[in-house]
Amino acid sequence: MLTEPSSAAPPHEISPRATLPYVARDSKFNLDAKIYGQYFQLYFNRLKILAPRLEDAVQAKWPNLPRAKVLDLKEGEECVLSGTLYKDMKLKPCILDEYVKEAGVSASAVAIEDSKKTKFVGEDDSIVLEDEGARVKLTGAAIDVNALVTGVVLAARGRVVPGGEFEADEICFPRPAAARRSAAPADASTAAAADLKGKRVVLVSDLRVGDPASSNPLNLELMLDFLTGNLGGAADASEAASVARVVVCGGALSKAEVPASSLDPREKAQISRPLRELDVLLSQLCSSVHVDVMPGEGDPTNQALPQQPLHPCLFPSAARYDTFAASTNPHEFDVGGVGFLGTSGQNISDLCKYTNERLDLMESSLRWQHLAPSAPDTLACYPYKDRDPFHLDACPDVYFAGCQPAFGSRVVELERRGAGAGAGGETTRTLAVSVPSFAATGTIVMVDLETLTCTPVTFGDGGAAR
Amino acid sequence: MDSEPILPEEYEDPDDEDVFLNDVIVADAEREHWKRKPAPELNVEKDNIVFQQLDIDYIIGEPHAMLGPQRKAMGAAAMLRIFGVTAGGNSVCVHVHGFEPYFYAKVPESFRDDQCEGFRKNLNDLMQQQQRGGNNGGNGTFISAVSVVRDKQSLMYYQEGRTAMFVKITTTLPNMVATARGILEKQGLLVPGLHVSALTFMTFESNVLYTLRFMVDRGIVGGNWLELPPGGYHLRAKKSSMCQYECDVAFDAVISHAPEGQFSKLAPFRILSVDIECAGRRGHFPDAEHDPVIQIATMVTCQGDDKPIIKAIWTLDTCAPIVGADVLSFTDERELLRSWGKFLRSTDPDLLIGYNIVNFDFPYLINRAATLGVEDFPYWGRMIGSKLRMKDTTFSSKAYGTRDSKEITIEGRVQFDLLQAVQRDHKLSSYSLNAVSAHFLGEQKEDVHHSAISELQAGTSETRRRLAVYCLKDAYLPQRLLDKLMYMYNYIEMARVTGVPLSFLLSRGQSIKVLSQILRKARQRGLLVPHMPKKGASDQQEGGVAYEGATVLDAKAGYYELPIATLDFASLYPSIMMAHNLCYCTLVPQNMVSRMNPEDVSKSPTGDVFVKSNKTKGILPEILEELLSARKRAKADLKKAQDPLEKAVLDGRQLALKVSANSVYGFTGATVGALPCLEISASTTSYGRNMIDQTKELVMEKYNTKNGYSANADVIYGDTDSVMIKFNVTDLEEAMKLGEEAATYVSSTFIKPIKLEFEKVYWPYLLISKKRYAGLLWTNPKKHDYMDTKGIETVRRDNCLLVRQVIETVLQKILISRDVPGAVDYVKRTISDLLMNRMDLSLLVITKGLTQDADAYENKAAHVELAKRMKERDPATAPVVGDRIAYVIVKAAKNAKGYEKSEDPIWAMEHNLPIDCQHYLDHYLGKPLMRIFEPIMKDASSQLLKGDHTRAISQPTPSSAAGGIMRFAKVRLSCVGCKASITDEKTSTALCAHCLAKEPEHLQRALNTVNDLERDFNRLWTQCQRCQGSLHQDVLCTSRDCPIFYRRKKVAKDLGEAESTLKRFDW
Repeated sequence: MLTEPSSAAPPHEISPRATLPYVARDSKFNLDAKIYGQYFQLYFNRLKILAPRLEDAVQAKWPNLPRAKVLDLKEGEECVLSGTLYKDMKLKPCILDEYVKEAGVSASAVAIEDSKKTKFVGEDDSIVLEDEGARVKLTGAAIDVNALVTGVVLAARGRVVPGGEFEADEICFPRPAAARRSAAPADASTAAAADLKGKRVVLVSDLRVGDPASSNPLNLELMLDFLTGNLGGAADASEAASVARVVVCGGALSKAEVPASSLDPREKAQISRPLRELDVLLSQLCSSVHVDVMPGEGDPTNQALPQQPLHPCLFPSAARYDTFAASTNPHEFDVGGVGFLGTSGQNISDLCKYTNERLDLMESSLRWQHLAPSAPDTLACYPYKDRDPFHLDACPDVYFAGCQPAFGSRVVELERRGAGAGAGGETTRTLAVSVPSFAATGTIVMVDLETLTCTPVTFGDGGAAR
Repeated sequence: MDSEPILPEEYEDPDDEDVFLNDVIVADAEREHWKRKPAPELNVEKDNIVFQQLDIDYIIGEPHAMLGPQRKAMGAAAMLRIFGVTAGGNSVCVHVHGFEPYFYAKVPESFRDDQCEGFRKNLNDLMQQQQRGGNNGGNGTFISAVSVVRDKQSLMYYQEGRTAMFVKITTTLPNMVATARGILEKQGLLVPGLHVSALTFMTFESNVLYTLRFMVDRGIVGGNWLELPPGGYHLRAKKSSMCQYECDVAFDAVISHAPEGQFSKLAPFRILSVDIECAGRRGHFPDAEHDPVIQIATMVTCQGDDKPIIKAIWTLDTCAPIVGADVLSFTDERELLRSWGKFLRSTDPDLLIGYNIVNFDFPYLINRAATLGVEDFPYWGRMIGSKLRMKDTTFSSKAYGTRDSKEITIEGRVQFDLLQAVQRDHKLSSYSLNAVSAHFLGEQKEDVHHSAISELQAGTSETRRRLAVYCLKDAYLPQRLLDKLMYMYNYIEMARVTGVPLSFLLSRGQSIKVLSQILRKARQRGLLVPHMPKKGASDQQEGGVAYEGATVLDAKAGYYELPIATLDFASLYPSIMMAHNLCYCTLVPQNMVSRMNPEDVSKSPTGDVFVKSNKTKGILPEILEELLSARKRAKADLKKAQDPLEKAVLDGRQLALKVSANSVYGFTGATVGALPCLEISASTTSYGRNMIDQTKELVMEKYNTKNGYSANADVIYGDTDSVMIKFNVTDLEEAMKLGEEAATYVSSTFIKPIKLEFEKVYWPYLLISKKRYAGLLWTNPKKHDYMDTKGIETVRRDNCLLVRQVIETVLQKILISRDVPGAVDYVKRTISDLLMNRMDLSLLVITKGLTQDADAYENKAAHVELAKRMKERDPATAPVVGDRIAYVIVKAAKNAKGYEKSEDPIWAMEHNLPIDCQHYLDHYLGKPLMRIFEPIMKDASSQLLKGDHTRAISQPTPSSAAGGIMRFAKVRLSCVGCKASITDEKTSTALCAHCLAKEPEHLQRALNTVNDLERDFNRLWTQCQRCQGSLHQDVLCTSRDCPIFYRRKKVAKDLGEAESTLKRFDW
């Protein structure tokens, strides 16, 4: 696809940049005044919000079974329980370990060690279900301990066995939210489809600008040239022109570790160098195409979800372009009527500590109708008092997670059954995309808005100069 | 070895009469599953009853018909009651008849058999005069028999083959023994035909408790298995107890089984664990006169099971259901108490456990019921209609200190207070249930403050359920501690080894255990234990300092980087007593020494003379030999054992045996004990001292270059039973080899069984002073075992966490990493952090208990002054007596006294009061650090406590909260970057004009602060949620013992501040 620019080729016509209407839907992730209370309200709201949809799903699946509360469970009677899961794992990091661990390992060292733990999975992990009143341990064939995580809201069909555990035969998640596009009038869809023909959105993550140790600057240059239409021949240029928007999903900056308490002025200067490089790169990009910059892990904003947009003062030149948009993480938006929802990947990476494969997890996350169930248990997030912005209130067409080790995509179809499903029994289709780390793979993802398919594009040597 | 227990005041059972209510209060289970398994029918002629006894007591009553009319005529008799459980889990109550209390008195050689009756009659008459009330209903008989005994001799002093004349005096009731003894010893008795005037007599075994007397005579030891053979017992038709089997037997029909083989097991007895919650009034600790009992949580577990069989909670007012637990709700507190009483009786537990039940939960319940007039409540015992009894006692023992406590008598049920047990067996910095469970179970306990308890109670059935779950957890913790610490196994084994009833182990000191063993042994040998009159207070003092203690060789303080071999005497004092045959019965009175053949005796360094074992073997050495060989056997069996339960029993046994062997020496030295004999204890220690000196000489003589060794050995330190030798070799393995060799060589010069053992090498070794050292301990040349420290006060309860952390880290760095410069760096960094106020507040919190009302203290103390101030601020949340008060030292006006600087950590945090870092450095951290570093480096003080790292200190901006001039100051925004005040607030509220150019940098730094805090906030609060075990409910815990309590509070506050700084960047 990438060909050497041939001097013999005639100078091609400059293709016009594709444009599409854009709606940002980040307001629910914006935080203004923060009040730090406890976390229980977040869990409570999560359960409250998802409960009606869970009830719909239960109604459709097991219409004739009695519902029960954990408190009223009677041994042996078949019933349906619903509530929030908690996964008990011995290997979960615990802040109290700082105090009991061998002295000599400083507290912060323990914290760092904990954050590096990539798996919490142990032999005797167990799942409990908690409703408004109490908890009960879940066992039985339907409970795949490895596939479930803390914070998921679900219903289980089964009975209490002697010993007080609940033996589940089957489980059920909340009825999926309607697709956002289906809300649009039917006749408008054809018009929109015409608009979308051949148009694309590029997802890229983990650029690590200004960190030559982990990211190859050449690859960055190549990507920049490609996206601005300065690379390759006419075909490439027109391909570049079809990109309506570039979304940087996290990790724009290098994670050069400069201790906060360091008072050395030279080290302080080090902090801003990568920032300036990124600013230059972004302003070049913005001069040609719309760019959304989502903050990710280690980026200069708050770290707990939802991460707030990067401050414009960090990008003095790029911020001057109206094509530049600093967004929240998670980020929800429509391009040409196609609904996007995604994160910079912390939610999936954290889920990964509980269990297995990343695309499976993205699918699970959609089934659970929740972006980040493991927040706040193991993933920091703001202690919301009155809502849970991380549940899915509409099914996106594209669901992405940045900063992942490898590219992957999958179409997830969710069946919407039950009373509230409107035209009963429709199915939502979502394209789940695992956006690879650019620094590690040199790969970006192009999402075709018309067909809702995606293709990875790899630059240079692929892997970083490590 | 270091315990010299004092016996509590002479013990006689309290009122012997049981109080019977007319209405018989029986067990009527509200729920069927509460009851014990039904007991199989017994055929009295064919079936035996085999059971493990747990408690033995006695009552006074009508003599049983089986004793015949003659005994009936004498009036009331003592009846023993044995309570126990069969292997099938059924409860047994055995009434034992016919065992009469008795003691001995020494009479002159001229005493004739026909003088017995005169002796009896006259003693009886004197008794009649003294005994007020007397033996009602009888025919005035106090002394039922006096008979001559010729084949016994006194335990005291060596008597060459002679026996003496004694009379055995039998009384009708146990408490008459003391009266009769008093008459014989002090008042004197005229015996017709013996002497013209009244004589006083020495008495023997007159201070033996009646139940112990019975156990000794019948070979019964605490917690062993008993058998009633077929035909030997009568089942009671009309039961007087709640036990499933109840029978009457003659005292000689009970067969006692030694705890071996199948009889070493534990029966599946029922353990009931309890915790109560009361609603205190605002600002007061709950008081049974005013405050209701709102919840009682109870768990019943069968010994050997790993899960409770019953979980139940009684609540005042409604309570939402709890999975797996019986919830019983009441509107009337009286009904609640009544119902729980019924429950107790119907579950019929053998053991009652809890945390501080003896001094809080039980008295509270009993007093509360009395206040409310619930008359049918205090019937917890096993005897139908018999009320429990409660009185105040003082328990005093040199080993365990003096404690006021309650004594509650619950017939047939053993009480086991985990608090008392843990206090006895473990030295901890705090004995709160939280600290204890953190220490042993490795988890923090959720702690709800008593003011929060009242609020939960006043809420809905959901909030009360919340409280109930918390209360149930607390009721389960004692059971988990019991299991984790193997208390059942260890205590029952201790009871078996020493032969005392299980209940004595917690309520009595060490000496009763030794006395019990001496009595048993003396009985086999035909020796009688003399009764020694108690000495007065002045005598005590004289006696207390009469002999020299153990020796300590001078410590050559320093930091040793060469391996230091340590030679230990195995069981030093017991082996000395065995080797030199030290005993009451081998001690030769000074006036007899000249008449002894010098071949047959040995003279101790104190000049006391004992006969050698070929003449007579002492009974103490014999007891010790048995204990130590039994320990050897137990240890050997332990190695072979596969079954974990069997292992637990054996391990408990070997531990009990070791402790018992060591307490024998202490018993002989206890001047206010039952049988002090300073000749024995002083000789023991003097032999010990000589041996240490001798070892030192031998080692230094042999291991030197003259004898061909590569270097001269040096003894750097020696203490009671160990000697530390520096062989001056660099190789660990060689040091071990030399140690081994030296131990064998020195041992060969001592009399058996004294043995010097080589066990360990310290390398490196930091010797600070006498009894203060730390070293890395090696028992094999490949890998060190652990870091051993002695006397370095890292665990003192009034120290803050910081001291502990710093000292531990420093020792680790010095000893394990051998990184002295690293340790110095660490100390400097920590001190700098402290002075720069970068310390986590929870590391600086000091806690002290408020033992009496704050106003009652005479001396001014930091925590007391704080308690007073807190009371002024808000009486509702102020600490009350019994609370532990947490405080930090804050800066105060110049010359303020130490106690004026204490402040509530939360108050200090909320009001931005600056911490007095210098105070921490001077008063807490400095001294222990100096002790460690002085042997290591020169001018440690000037290097560590002074120097560059102490120059930068954080000087907080005076705040208006601190008062003073700042109340009049106007606050203006200052630049986040350079602290200059911002003149142009329109451009930026965060930065001054100069810093504006570097906005991203400053923003980045502000963000870093926020992010660190966000991470901590998340980790802290989710941890609390996990600990409380609920996602949907708020965290209520206010445990000040928990290390993260202050941190989670501080992080929320800091986060707010950091966010507002961030906001100024116009985000």
